[in-house]
Amino acid sequence: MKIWNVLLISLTPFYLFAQNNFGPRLTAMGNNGAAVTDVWALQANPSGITAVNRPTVSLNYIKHLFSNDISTQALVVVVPIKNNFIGAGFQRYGFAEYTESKIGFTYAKRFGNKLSIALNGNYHQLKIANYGSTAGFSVDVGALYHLGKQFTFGAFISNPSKQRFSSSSEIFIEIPTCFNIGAAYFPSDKVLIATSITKSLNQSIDVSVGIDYKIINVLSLRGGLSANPFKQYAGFGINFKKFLLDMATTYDANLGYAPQIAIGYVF
Amino acid sequence: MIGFVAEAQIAEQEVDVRDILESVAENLPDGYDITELTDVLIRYRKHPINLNKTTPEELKTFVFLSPLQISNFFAYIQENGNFVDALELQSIDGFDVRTVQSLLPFVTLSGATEYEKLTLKNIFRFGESDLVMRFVQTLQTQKGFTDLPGNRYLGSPERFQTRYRYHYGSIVSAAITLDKDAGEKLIGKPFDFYSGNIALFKLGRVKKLVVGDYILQFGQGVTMWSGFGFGKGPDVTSVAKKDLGLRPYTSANEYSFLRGASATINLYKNFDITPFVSLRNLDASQDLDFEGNLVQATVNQSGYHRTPTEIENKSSLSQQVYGAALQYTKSELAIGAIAYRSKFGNSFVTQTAVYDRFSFTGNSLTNLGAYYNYTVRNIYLFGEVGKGSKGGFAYISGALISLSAIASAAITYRNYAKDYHSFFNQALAEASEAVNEKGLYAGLNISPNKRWAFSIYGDYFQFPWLKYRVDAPSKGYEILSQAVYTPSKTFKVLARFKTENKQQNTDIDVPINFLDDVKKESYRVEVSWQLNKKWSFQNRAEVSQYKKGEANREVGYLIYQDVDYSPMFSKITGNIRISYFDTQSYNSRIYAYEDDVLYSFAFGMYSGKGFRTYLNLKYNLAKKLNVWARYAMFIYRDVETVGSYLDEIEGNKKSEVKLQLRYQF
Repeated sequence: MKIWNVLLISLTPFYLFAQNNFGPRLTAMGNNGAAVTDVWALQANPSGITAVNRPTVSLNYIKHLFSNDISTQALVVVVPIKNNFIGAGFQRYGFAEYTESKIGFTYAKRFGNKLSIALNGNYHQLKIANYGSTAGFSVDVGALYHLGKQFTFGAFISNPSKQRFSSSSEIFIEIPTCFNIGAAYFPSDKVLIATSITKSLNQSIDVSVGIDYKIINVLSLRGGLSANPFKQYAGFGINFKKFLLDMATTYDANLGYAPQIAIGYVF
Repeated sequence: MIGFVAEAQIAEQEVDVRDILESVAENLPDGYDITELTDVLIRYRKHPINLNKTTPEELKTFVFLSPLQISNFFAYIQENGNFVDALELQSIDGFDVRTVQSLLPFVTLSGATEYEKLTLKNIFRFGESDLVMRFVQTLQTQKGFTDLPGNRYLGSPERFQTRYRYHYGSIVSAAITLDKDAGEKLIGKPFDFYSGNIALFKLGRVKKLVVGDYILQFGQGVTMWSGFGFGKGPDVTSVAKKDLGLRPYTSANEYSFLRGASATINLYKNFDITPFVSLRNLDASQDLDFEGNLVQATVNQSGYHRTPTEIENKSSLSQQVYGAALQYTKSELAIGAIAYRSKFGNSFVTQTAVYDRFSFTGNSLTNLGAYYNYTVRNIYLFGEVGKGSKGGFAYISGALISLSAIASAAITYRNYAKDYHSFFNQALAEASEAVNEKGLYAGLNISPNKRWAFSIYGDYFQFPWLKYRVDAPSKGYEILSQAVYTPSKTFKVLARFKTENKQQNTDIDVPINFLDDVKKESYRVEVSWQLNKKWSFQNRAEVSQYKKGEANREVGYLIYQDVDYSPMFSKITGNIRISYFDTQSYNSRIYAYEDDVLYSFAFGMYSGKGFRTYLNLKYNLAKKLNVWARYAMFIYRDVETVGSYLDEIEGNKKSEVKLQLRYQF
């Protein structure tokens, strides 16, 4: 079983971190990370952390398709200091014999009320049992612009310099390069509708739409769709006193469900 | 002078109705008879409904009102009392500017002139009658009308239709419909299809009574819904059906109705019961089984009786339906339960193909169903579950959510067992029948202001068992997104994108079929502009793509230009379309709605390569007498015949002439 898992993962295209996870809120909204502000935006558009007003930490666990072994654990921390935001994130995907991990540090700055720009540096590591391990660096850059109270536009690029794992072997392991642009619209103070267009190198363009509906003060319901491949997303979040509890799941026709849960605390 | 004003009123009335119909026409299912919708709207235009005395059932007949809006309407009255001004509609939750604008011409606040005294003399004095006679013929000779040895059309090529409708206020109505399709015999039996009914309303405890042909629509269409229901469309709220219960039948469709008698009776406070009985003879192609009994596999719904085989199959299967529906309605909650039995003169058998394994067999079926809808704050919840006596369950459940004044969302989950049986099943489905399907649909409508409207929906569905040409369980999805920009009353731009991905047996010759992905995409851009009070134009460009498995993509495109001449005081109005289309194959064909007589709409199918043009003219002979004429033609390029089988025409042209006369008295 474990060997099968290793084969399965290693036979998938060498563009790792298709597993990069945006946290349950952004995932439930259809993986809309381009223009939505959230503590987990660290993993998507890093300038999205500029709406976090108080130091926040969040821990996430995802159970992936096929078997009980494959999971993702992730942790993010964001600390705002006046108009500067510092964040750190850690993500690990895989199981005992195979892990991809990523640790990143983010710096985001808010210019006035409208514009934010951020930079994120990541250290990736890939470990396969009996095979070895390799490491790589990548950088993400993102920007966010608020147009009035109702619109937000965002764009980010992950790994624009096409860094790779420093592997001496013949295998070409790339870190995915991804261009994202999106918009978020607030029809009222309870509803957020977000859309983004994503283009990963070597994959076709994906469009997604998502919605976050704060039905009552402590509960938010979320849903989303992405077109290419067609996936449906759903989730909810509970915001009680200083605790944040979010759950989400992705549904893919061929891969099934991937539920995730995150617990956060706002200091 | 008065004559001018009256004519202006009539023209204005027609424009209002026409605008609404245009916006819903395209999203109607195939075969939906739009004249019923037209009738309802025209009547309300002439006799606007009283906002303070209306009922949920009356509002449900407005095709553009969603169940959530209707619910909020009554909640508003409960909270704020009667309307003082029709413009108060704007302050109701969920009533955006567009909806209010569409509704205003049909409502009033003054007490409607209720004809309380139902006497024979009054029936003739105050009743309103509407007589429509229509003649249609394809000019070229189709193969079925030539002297063929075997199967051919035994009748003449004209199509005649006569409809008579009578209304006495909102208390009495009657209708007669006569129809002869092209190819059916004229001599001997003038009309192939007869339909009629008399309906009485508001007779004390008897809310409705219909004798003759009627339709029943309950819940979400899982258990009992005769006629056609709306499906998925750019208005995402259309996934929640608006059931109207018992209604007299006035269409010319020869299959989807019940014939007998039915009534809706108020039993006690909020409880209504609708018993019904129907005795009909349906068309079915029958064979003898091993024991020498006549059996059939399916029922013919086309209503055509042209060829010797079709004539032989006519009325060969007797059907008895009897049952009742019980409803409880109180402010935000409605619950209903339905039970009925269908009995057939001959038994059904399954076809040999494996995909048909779970179809209905036998000659009697009992159906049970229960449905509900409940409005809580800004959410309208709805659902229905149904079961047939010999098979599985089918259920659908969902919610319409009015997220804010600008955005509304719809979400629904459906699960229809592969062996669910019902002869009156029109529930929301991707397949043509709501059986053997599971799906989750989510849609969003956003109208930030008067000028913009956005819609998007995504539907994911699975078919747990085999289907025709699909030899394994399959799945697929559909996405539609649309943006409409209306900066002024005279200009509108629409852009729509739709993609659908399903699975089907591969076309490659293999020992065991595997499933290929079939992808259909269409892109559409449309511009409508009103030049001045007389002339308006509409242009559309549409591209469709079809790709199956690894085969090459097949592309089709269509462009058309419509010109409309409708001056206010003129006796003559008309419109014309010129279009060019080029589709690589039948798979990449494009459908577009076309203007037809009496502002009804037809669906044109554009397949192949060529031109399509039509001209509609309407002439006001006298104040109550209108005449329509239509000439439509397809000219195909690079073909020697048009059509197939008995509809084949030699040459590359197909043209059709239609004449209609309407007398209102």
